[in-house]
Amino acid sequence: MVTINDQGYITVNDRVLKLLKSLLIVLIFISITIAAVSSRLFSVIRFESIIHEFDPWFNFRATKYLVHNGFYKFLNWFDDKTWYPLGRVTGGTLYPGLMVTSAVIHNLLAKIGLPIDIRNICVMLAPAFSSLTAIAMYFLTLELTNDSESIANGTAKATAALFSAIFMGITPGYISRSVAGSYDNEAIAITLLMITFYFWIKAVKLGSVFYSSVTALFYFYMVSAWGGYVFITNLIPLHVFVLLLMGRFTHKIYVSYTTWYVLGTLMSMQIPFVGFLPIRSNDHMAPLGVFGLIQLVLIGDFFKSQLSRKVFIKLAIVSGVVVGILGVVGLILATKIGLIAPWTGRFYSLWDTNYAKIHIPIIASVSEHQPTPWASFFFDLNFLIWLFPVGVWFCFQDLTDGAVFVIIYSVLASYFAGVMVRLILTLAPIVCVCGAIAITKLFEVYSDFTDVVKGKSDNFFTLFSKLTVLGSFGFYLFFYVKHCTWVTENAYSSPSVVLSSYAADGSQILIDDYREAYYWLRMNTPEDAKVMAWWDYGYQIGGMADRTTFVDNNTWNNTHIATVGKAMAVSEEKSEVIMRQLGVDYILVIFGGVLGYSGDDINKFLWMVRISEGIWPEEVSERGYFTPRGEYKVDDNAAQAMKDSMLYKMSFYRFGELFPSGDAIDRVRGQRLSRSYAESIDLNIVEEVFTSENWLVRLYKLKEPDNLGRSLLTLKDNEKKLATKKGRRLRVNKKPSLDLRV
Amino acid sequence: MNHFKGLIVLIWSFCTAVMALSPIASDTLVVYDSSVVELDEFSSLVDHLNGEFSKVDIVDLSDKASDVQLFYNQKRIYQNLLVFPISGQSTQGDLNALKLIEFVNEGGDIISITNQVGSNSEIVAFNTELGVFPSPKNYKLIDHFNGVNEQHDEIRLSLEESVVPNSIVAFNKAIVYSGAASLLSNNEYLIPLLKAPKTSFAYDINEGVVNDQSTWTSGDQGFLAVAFQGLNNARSLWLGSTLFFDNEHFDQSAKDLVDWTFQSRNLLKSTFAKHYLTDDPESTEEYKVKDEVVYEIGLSEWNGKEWAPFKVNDVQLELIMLDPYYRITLDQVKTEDESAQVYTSGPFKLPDQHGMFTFSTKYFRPGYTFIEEEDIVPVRHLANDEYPRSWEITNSWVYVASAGAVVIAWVIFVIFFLYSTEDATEIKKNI
Repeated sequence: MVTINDQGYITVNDRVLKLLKSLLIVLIFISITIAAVSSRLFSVIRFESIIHEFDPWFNFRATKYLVHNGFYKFLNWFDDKTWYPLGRVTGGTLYPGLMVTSAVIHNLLAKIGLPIDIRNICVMLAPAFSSLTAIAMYFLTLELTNDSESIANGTAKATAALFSAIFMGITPGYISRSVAGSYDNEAIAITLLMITFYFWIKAVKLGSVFYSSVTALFYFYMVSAWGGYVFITNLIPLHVFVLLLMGRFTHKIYVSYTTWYVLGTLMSMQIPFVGFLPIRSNDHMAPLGVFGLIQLVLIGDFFKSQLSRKVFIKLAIVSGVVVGILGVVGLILATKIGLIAPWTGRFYSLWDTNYAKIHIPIIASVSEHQPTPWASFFFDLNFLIWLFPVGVWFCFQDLTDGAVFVIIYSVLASYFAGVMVRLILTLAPIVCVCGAIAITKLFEVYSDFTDVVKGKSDNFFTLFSKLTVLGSFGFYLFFYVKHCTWVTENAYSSPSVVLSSYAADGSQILIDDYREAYYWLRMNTPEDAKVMAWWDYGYQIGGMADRTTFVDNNTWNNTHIATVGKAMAVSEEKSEVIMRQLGVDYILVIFGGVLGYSGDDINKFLWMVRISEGIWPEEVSERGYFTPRGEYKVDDNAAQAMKDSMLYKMSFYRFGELFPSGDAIDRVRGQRLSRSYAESIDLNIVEEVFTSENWLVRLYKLKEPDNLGRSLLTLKDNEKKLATKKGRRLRVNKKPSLDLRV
Repeated sequence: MNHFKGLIVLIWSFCTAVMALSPIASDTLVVYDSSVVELDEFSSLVDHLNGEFSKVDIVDLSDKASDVQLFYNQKRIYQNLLVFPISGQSTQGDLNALKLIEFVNEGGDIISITNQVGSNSEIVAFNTELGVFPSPKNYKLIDHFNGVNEQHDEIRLSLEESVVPNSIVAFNKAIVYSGAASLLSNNEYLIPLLKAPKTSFAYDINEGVVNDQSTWTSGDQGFLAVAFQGLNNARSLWLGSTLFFDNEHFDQSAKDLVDWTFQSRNLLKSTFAKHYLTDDPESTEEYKVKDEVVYEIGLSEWNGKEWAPFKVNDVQLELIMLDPYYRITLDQVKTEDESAQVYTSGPFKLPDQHGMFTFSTKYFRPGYTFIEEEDIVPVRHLANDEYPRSWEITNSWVYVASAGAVVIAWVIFVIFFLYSTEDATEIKKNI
C-alpha cells in the first residue's frame, strides 16, 4: 500500500487513497447527520415527545386513521368529526405523502421486528428526513458545480457540496419546519424538492429519458406530499424557457423536459386533491406553455433547415401572429366559460402583499402569510444571507445549465420569501448552495499557502491577510453553528401546545393548560359532543380531545368560518340562534389575560369580526368594536359591540373574582377593569363548565332551551327577583305588558 | 373502635328514622287551606284521586305545624301536586315559586287554582313563570251582558265562544263562571282551554272606576283555564275558579282535566325509530350520497289500560343538515303489532350532498306528549371506485375511441418511421 520510491518520496496506493476519501466522506455525513438530528431533538429534551402546533395534529390524526383502517379507507375517508355538519372529504382534500410515508415506515419496522409506536415515528420523521436532505443537498451541489471549473474547480467541488450539506443540515430556516414533533408536510417536502432538482439537473445534462423519468417520479412524490410542489412546476419550465432564450436549447433539454412534463403531469393528476388542477389552474400554465413552445421551436428548426431564409422569416411572422392570437383568444374564452380561473385572490396576493389584507381576511389572518421582516432573513440564515449574492455572482461567471438554474431559483425564491414568511423555507436550500460556493471559493484562494511556503518576497503581508480572512471566516462558521443552535433551542423548539416560562428563581415552568382542557373535554363530555372554537384550535381539539369541531385549520369553507366568527362576535341573543342552528354543545375560548399570553382569542377577535363582516356586512361591523376614538379597549370604556359580544363576555366572565381586592388587570392588553364593571359581566345562554389552571382555556356549555319556554336571556334575573318578597309582590300585582295572545 | 361503631349505628338509626318519615312511595299531594276552602266540597275529586292514583297525601295549611315537602335529598318525592287556593303572601316548606319550577323541571305535574279569595303570591309567581298572569286578589271578572247575578260577576259562558278547541278536555255542559281571569304570554307551550267572554273584563274593585289602569284583562284576552306542558312533558294546569272541581260540577270534563295533568291521558311514546337502506336493511355501513333509504317510527298511545297504536296522518320526518333537505309526511303501515302504529317514509333517495344529516321526527301537538326522535348520521361521498367506469358512460365513448385511435396511430407511425427509412436507404443503394 505504502511504498517509498527511489527519490525518497512516500507514495500511497491510489485505491487506498480513494478508500480513505470515501471513508472520510461517510464520516463527514455521519457527523452532519448527528448535528442535524441532535439539534432537532431540543424539543423532545426540553419538553417531551409530542406533536407540535396545529397542522401536525391533523397529520398525526390522519396517519393514525391510515394505520388503523388501511389505504383504501384512508383514500375515501369522509371525516364526520370536523366541519360539522358539513363534514370534510378528508381523503380527497389532503396531500397523502406524509401519512403514507410514516405508515410505510411503521409497517416496515413492524415487519422486521421493531414495533414502534406510530406517534414516535411521526415525531421523529422530520429529523430523520433532515439527514436525507443533507445528502440530497450534497449531490445537488456537486451536480450544479460539476461542469464548470470557474464556479468551483476540481477538488473544491466536493468541498462546496459538503459545505452546502452541513449548512442545510442546521440552517434555522429549515429547522423551523423540521424539529422533532413538527410533523408537517414540509418535513419531507424539502428533501423531495432537493432530490427532484438533483435529478432534473442530471437529466438536463445527459438528456436522459431515465433520469427525467426519475425526476418525474420524485416530482410525483413531492406532489403527494406538499402543496409547494407548484414551485417545481414553475421553476423547471422557467429554467427551460431561459435556456431557450439564451439560445441554449438542445435536444437533450427537449427530451428531458417533455419526458418530465408528460409523466409528471399524468402522475400528479392521480392525487385526488390535485385532480385536474394541472390543466386548469393558473399555477400550472407555465409548464403547459413551455411544453407547447418547445414543440413550436422544434417545428421552426425543421422549417428553417428546409426553407430559404426569406420564406422562413415570413412563415415565422405569420405563424407567430396566428399562434399569439389563438393563445389570447383561447385564454379569454376558457376564462369566460369557466374552464380555467387564473385570476384568483391567491394570484394577486403573490404580487401585491397588501391585496389579501384588504380583500381576503381569512388568508391575511394567518401569521405565516405575513410579509417577511428583514430581521428574519438574518435570523433564519445567519451569515449565509450575505454570502448568498456572492455565490450567485460566481454563477454568473460561467453560465452553465446548472448555474442558470441556480440563478433562476435564487431570484424566484428570494421574491417569494419576501412575500410570505413561511417561504423562507424554499429559499434556504439555494442560499446554502450559494453560500457554500462562495465560501469554498474563498477558502480555495486564501488557504493556498504554496506561495508562502515557496518563500516569495511579500510573504509576510500575504500570510497576514490570508490568516486574517481565514480566521474571520473560521469565526463566522463557528458563529453560524452557535447561532443555529441558539435559534433552534430558543425559537423553534416550542411545541406551542405546552408553553414554557421562567419563574423568579430562573427555573422553568411548563404551562400545560391546553392539554389540561382538551383532556377534560375528552373525559367529561359525551363522545358526540360538538365543540365550537375559533378555527386555529380545530385540529388540536380533533387530535387531542377527539371531539367534533365546526371549523379547523383546513379553512376550506369561508362561510362556515364566518358563521362561527359571527356567533362569537354578536350579542348573546343573536348568538344563541346561530349556535342552536349549528348544533353547538360546548364553546372553547382562549384567554390570555391572566397569564399575559398574547395569542389569545381577544387579540384574534378582529379577524373573526372581519371575516364575518365579509359575509354579513349589515350585521357585523368592525368599526363598532373600537371606541369612538379608535382604540381597541377591553376595559370599562370598551365599545358597546365589544361589551355585548359573546367572545368578550366568555373571556372576562368571573375575571373580577381573581382580584378580590382592587381592579382586575388584563395582563396582555395592560388594561384595568374596574371592580364593579368586571363583576357586572354576566352570561345567560351558556354556563361555565371548565377553566384551566392559568385561565388560558375556558370551556362553556350552551344551555338547553328552557323547559318552561322562557327566554334564557332573562331567566336568571327573573328567578333572582322571584326569590325576594318585593320582587314577587311586584310580579304578582303589576299588570305585565304582553303582546296580544293569538 | 367501639365509639366508631356506636356512631355508625346512631347514624344508621337516624337515617332509617328519617326515611320512615319521608313519604317516598307517595304519589299525589293535595294542599289546601281550610280557612279558604272546605275539602268536603271536593270529596268526589278526592275520591277520584284515591281511585286513580296510588296514594294521596292531604295537607291542610291552616295547621301551622304542617309541612309541605316536595323534595327529599333533592329528589322529587311526589308525582302530582294539587294546590287549592291559598291566601297570604308566603307559604310553608317547599311550596314556593322556585321550588315549584324545580318540581316541574324534574318532571312533576301541578294543578293550581287561584281566585280572588286565595291567590297566594308564590303560587301566582310560579304561574307567571309559565306565562300565566292571573288577576290579583282585588280584581273581579265582570260581564254586564252575560252576568246572571246582580254584580254581574257570575257569568254564563257560551260554549261556542269560550271553549278553545283542544285535545285535552271537552266542556259540554253550560258553565256559570265566577273567579279569576288571567293574561297569557305567547309561550308556545301554553294550551288555553277556556276564554273569558268578549264582553267581559277583570278590574280592580277597590279602584272603583273602570279605566286603563284598573283593568287586568279585557274581552277574550282573559283566560279562565290554561294547561301547560313543558319540554320534559311535565304538565301543569291553572284554573281561575274552584267550581270546576266541586262536588256539584265534578263531571267527566273535570275528571279529564285531572287525568290529563296527572299523566294518564293523551300520553304518547315512540316505540322505535329506525332507518335503513332499502336494498340491504341489515347493512351497518355508512350511507353514501344518493342511497335509497327508508325511515320508520312506531307510535303508541296510552288508552288508560295499555299501550295501543296511535293513528294520525300528520307525522313528519325531516332530514336536516343546517336546513331541511326533506320533509316527508309518514304513512301508516299495517303490522301485526298490537301496541304501536308503525309509520314509514317509504323509500326515498338521500340528497346528492355529503355531510352529517339528522333524521328528525318532532311530533309536538298541544295536549299530547312531545315526541322527539333524532339520529345524526354521516352521509359520505362516493369512494374512488364507486363512480361508473368510463365505458359505462355513453358520452365518453367518443373520447375513449379518440384516445385509442391516437395510441394506435402512434404505434403505426413508429413502425413506419423505423422501417421506411431503411427502405429508403435500400432504394438509394439500388439506384
